[in-house]
Amino acid sequence: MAREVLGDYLAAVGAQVRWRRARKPLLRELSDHIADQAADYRAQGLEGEAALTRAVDEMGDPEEVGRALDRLHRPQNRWGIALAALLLAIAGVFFQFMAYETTGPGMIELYPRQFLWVPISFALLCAVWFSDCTLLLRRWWAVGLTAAAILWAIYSTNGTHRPTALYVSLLLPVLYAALLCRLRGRGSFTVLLCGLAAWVLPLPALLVPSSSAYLLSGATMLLTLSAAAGLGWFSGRRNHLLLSWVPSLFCLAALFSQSHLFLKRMAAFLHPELDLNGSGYLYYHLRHGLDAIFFDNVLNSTDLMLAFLAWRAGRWVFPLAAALLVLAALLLLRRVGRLHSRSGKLLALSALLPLLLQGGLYLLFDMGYSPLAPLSLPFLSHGIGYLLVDSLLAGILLSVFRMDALLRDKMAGTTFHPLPDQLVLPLGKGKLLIQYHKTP
Amino acid sequence: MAREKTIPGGTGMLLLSLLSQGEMYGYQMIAALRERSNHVFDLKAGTLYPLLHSLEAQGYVTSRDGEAGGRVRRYYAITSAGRDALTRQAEEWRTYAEGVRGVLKGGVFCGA
Repeated sequence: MAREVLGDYLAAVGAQVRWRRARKPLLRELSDHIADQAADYRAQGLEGEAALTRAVDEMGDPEEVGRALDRLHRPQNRWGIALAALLLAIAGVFFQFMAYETTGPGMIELYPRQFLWVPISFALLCAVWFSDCTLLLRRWWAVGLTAAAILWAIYSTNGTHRPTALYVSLLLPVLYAALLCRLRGRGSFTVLLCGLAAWVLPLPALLVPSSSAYLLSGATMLLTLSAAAGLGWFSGRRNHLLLSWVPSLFCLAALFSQSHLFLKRMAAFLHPELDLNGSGYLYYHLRHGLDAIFFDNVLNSTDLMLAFLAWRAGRWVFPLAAALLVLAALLLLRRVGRLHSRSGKLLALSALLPLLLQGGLYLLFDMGYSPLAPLSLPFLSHGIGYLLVDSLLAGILLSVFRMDALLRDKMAGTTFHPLPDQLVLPLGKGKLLIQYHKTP
Repeated sequence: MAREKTIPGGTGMLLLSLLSQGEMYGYQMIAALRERSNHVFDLKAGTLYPLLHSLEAQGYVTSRDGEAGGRVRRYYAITSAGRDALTRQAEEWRTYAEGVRGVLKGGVFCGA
C-alpha cells in the first residue's frame, strides 16, 4: 500500500516533467529523499509501511513540485549555433563559386555535389544534437570508441581513403575528453600519462602524412587536459596544469627535431625569399600581394579560398574573417565556461577547439603566416569529408549545451539510464518499477 | 539571484549558509536546517529541490553524484558566486533585522 502511495507520488511528479531524460535523475533524488525520511521515521519507532506513507506525505503537492522542477529542467537548445552552421555551409558554396568561378571551369561540376551534402551534414548535426551525449561518459564506450577510431585511422592510411585518418584525428579529442571524465580525482602519474596520450593518440595522422592534423588534434587534447587540471579535476591540485605540459615538450621536441621535412618547411616559412621557386613561393606571394599568375599556378586549391576572395574583393576579407572568428570564439568559450558541470566543459571544449583551431589555421595560412597547411575552414571551405566531421563536432557541442542540466561530474554511468521512461526505485529489499506512458 | 530569493531572510540564503560549511545532500540540508533553527524552519522536500535546482541554474551551487549507503546521492556545494551572494544577502538581512528591531523598540522617527 505504502509503495503504491510512493509510486503514485513519483508518477504524479514525473508526469509534470516534460523532458523525458530529466525524469530519472529528478525522481531518483526525490525517492532517495523519501527513503532517508522513511528510515528516520522507522528509527523513531514507526512501522515500515506507516513510515513510508508519512515520508511521502511530507513531500508536498506532487503536481506543484513537478511543475517547479519542469520549469527548471528544460533542454537548452542553442538554435542560433545550429542555424549559423547551416548558413555558413550554404554561404560556403556561394563563396566557393565566387572564389573559383573564373579560374577553374572544372569546379563548376563540384558545386551541386557540395550543395547536396549541406542538408545531409545538417541532418547529421541535428541527429547528434538531439542524441544523448552522456553515452560517451559511460565506462567502456570512450575506451572502445577510441581504440576503434585509431585502428580505423591506421587501416585507412594503407588504402585509398587516407583522409579518413585526418577526420578521425579531429574527432579523437572528444573521445579523449570522455576518457578524462572517467579519471576524476586521479594523481600526478595519471596527468603525465594523459599528457603523453595527447601526442600518441593522433599519431596515425602522421602516416597520411599530415603534421597539421597531428598538431591540431594533439593541441586540442593538451588544452582540454590543461582545462581539466585548471578546474581541479585531478586530486584538486592546480599545479597539475604545469605537469600536463611536460610530456608535450618532450614529444614535440623529439618529433620535430627528427623531421627533415618540417625543418625545411620552417626555413621556407621564415625566409620565403630565399626559395622563391620552391617552398617559399606560396608564402612570399600570399604575404606580398596576389596576382592572376599566382592563382593560375596554385589552380583551385581548396586551402586558399580566403586568399582567392581577398584577391577578388580586397584584403579587408582577412580582418573581417579574423574579427568574426574571434567573436565566435569568445561567445562560444563563454558559453562553455557557463556550463554547470566540469565534465560538460571538457566535452564541449574538445568539440569546439578543433573547429576554432581549424578556422585560425586556415586564416593564417591564407595570409601567408602559417608554416602548417590548413585542414578546412569549418563549414565554408570545399570538402565533403570535413563538412561532415565539422557538423559532427558542432552536433556534439550542441548536445552538451542541451543536456547541461543533466550532466554530472561523477557516476555518469549510473546517473543516466538507457530507458529514461522507466524508473527502478531503490527501496531496501524490494524494487518498484514505474513506467511512463504517453497520455492522449 | 531572482528577486524573491534576495529578500532578506529568504530560504535561498539559509541554504547557501548551510552549504558554506560543507557539501550536503538534500535530506541532510532539511535536517540541519531544522536542527539549527530549533525547529523554526521545517522545509518541505517539495520546496527544497526546486529551490536547490534554481540556485544551481543561477550558478550559486554546484552538484555532483556521489555514493552513500549504497545509493547514489546528489551532493551540493556552494560556488564562489554563491559565497558572494550569501555575503551580500546576509548584510541585507542584518540591515533589515536592525530596522525591524528599531521599529519594534519604538525608535525615533526622523522625517517630515
